[in-house]
Amino acid sequence: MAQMEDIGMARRGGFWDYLVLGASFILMIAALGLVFLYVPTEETMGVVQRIFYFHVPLAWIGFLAFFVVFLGSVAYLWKRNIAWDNIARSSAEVGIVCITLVLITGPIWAKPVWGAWWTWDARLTASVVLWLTYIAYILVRSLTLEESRGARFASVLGIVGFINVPIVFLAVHLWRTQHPTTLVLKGDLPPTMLSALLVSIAAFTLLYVALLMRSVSLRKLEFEIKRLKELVSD
Amino acid sequence: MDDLGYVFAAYSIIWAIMFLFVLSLYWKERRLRRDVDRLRALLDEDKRD
Repeated sequence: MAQMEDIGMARRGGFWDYLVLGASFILMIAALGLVFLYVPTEETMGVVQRIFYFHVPLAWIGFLAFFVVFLGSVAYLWKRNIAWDNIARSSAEVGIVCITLVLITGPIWAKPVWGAWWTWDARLTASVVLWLTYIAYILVRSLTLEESRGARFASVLGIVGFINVPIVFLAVHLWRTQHPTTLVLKGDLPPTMLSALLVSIAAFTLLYVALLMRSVSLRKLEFEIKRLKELVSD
Repeated sequence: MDDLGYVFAAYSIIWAIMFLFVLSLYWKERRLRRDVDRLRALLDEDKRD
């Protein structure tokens, strides 16, 4: 009962939800316009390189989502307030969707460039491990009967699992891989390509915020239902 | 499949999965709000009795 009070009441989508979602939609359209009408075709890979402008932002948002899982998990273990676990779990779900899309669009980009859908190089393998870690993060809750115990186990996994994020990011620098290195950080990306990429990252960041807000609200509704069921059974 | 086909496939999958995810959140919220309303109505009935 105390936990119910901690997480607050679920609210319907309001002004801020629609503003963030609307801004994300407008930026997505702008990003698509830039990718297909403004950015020149890359010389080596050709038109297929245009997958890059959505593949990379999805990976970044996946990393951001898992960073929020990490912060939420630390805060939950420290404060034992279920609201933090609620945020962490919601963020993990959005992160899993993003990394799933990275793992799908990557091979589609790789096939015409490398001649193979998949290769078990360091970056790709580490990405699969990252994805499996957060699938486990979601599944571990269903393995425990007591909810707070499941949240504790998941939080530990949310903290330990985050180690995979820098491993995925640095894999192209630490090992010899087929995956391209990070051109953005090296400053090797032409301004036209960089602007399209940044608009796309902004669009996906706003989409992440909108999805996280809705997902957190859903989790609050689930708690409310549990509380009401207890009252009805009493 | 030509190169443009790969680009089309990648973008279609991104939009399709994102759309399904947003739709699943919307459906879930509708179902949960229905459950909340039903349970509140049950509680109100109990109080009246």
